[in-house]
Amino acid sequence: MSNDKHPNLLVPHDLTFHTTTPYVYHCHHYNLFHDQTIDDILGEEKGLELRVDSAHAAFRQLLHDACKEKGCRTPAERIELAQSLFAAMGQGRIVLDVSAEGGSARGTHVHYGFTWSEKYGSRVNRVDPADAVGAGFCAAATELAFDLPPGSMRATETACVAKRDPECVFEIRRDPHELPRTVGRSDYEALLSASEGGLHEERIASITSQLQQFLLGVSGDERGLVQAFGVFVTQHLSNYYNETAYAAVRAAERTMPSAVPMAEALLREAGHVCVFNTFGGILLSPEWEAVAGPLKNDPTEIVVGATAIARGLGFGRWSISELVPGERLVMDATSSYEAPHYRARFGPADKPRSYFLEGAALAMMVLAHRVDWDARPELTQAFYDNLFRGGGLGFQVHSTKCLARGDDRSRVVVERAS
Amino acid sequence: MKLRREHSCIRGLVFAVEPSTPAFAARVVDALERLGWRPAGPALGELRTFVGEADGTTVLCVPSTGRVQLRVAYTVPETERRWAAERTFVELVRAVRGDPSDHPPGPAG
Repeated sequence: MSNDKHPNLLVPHDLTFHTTTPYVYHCHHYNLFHDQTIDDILGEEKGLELRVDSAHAAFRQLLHDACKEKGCRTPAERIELAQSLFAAMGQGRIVLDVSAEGGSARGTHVHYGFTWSEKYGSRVNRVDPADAVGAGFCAAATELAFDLPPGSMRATETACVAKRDPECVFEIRRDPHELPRTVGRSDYEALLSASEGGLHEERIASITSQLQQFLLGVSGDERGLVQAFGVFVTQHLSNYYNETAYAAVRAAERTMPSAVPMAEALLREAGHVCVFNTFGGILLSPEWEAVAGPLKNDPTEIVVGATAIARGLGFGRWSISELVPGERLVMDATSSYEAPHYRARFGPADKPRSYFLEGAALAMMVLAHRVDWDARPELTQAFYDNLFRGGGLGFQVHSTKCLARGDDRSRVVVERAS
Repeated sequence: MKLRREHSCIRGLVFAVEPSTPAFAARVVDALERLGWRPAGPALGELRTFVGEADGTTVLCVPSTGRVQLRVAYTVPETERRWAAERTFVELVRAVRGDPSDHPPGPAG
């Protein structure tokens, strides 16, 4: 069931779809950290291959849906649609010059490369391109334009603004290979049962609804980027995040079991990065003040607000089951963009797999109790390091239920560290 | 009244006009409309968003709370962002100055 005012919303799960393709909103801090995490787990070569292939498969699903919906038939129409959609998502502007045999593509403001350069460019010399997502998009768009089979093209980024090249350049060529299967709306609908609210439901639902409507109207600027809440925001494909994360962890489990705790910890930390930067940026923004009123330096207010933000960004029906300020948070997710992907792709998990939810819930408690919001802090890397890498988070988290395991919900418990 | 740098992912892009009041924020909205700044962004509660044609600087106002924020376009070079914010700040204060109850502008902080 969708909402008349928000046709992309799967009510009442707070999940968003372009027709069948699941998407969420994430900021550039999260995106860059996520990609680095995949490479840290698999190594740069395999990490890059997984990231490009996962983006390729995810964008194929999206563009297939979009071409069908818009009735685009010619290669020119399909390429124009693909470029426009990529830019509208805040992924940047890429111009494709391709035939059925391949070709090239260029862009000056491609999300990953541009934002990496903004975040790290003055301090770090990067030698590898940053836009695996852009490369996957180029391969998918070329295939869809010329009715080619999935995985028939491969794209490589050969120049990148993150390496201080003047623009990002992609080479697209024929190279048949297998792509991962994608998860769609019907998979989520089949796996999710009744949704539930929790504590402070009325306030959370009200804020969520306004954020969802607001985000529906947000679109890339003339360069294909979205600057909002003090961060660069992307509308991004859940299949990309989920496939890369779960495939990387499963590869570690097969080949390097001793590295699995590190891999899982990094995926949880991605949740910290998201909550600190995006949720923090939203809480400090005028947009938030217009929706929720002046921010109060009150742990309950922060957790309630953060729960609404998670729903608004399309993360799923997250709810507060229990909250004891200073002590304990029990967060339920009767739906989530994360764990159902695992179950749909790999079958029931043998252990909880809600890494992002775990990291995010823990970070909510850290933000609620260790940040002086009245001081309107700048959310700098140094502040992040102080809160999350200083040795004592003050809280710890574990899962007691998980949608990936076949439970009726994911449930994470955050408690004061002993 | 002065500009204070606020949180932003990119250096020197976001500034708060402080101290501000609901009355001042409402007059900023009136002034921006009078000056022909373009309303922008999707609707969200009482938020009013305007974009300047000159350099793409955005002004966000929440009249009920008095919040006024300036967002310099990320395409403005880093060394020129403060100046772009100052220019908008001066333009705004001048535009609302007709009312004697307004705070006079002071040095930027």
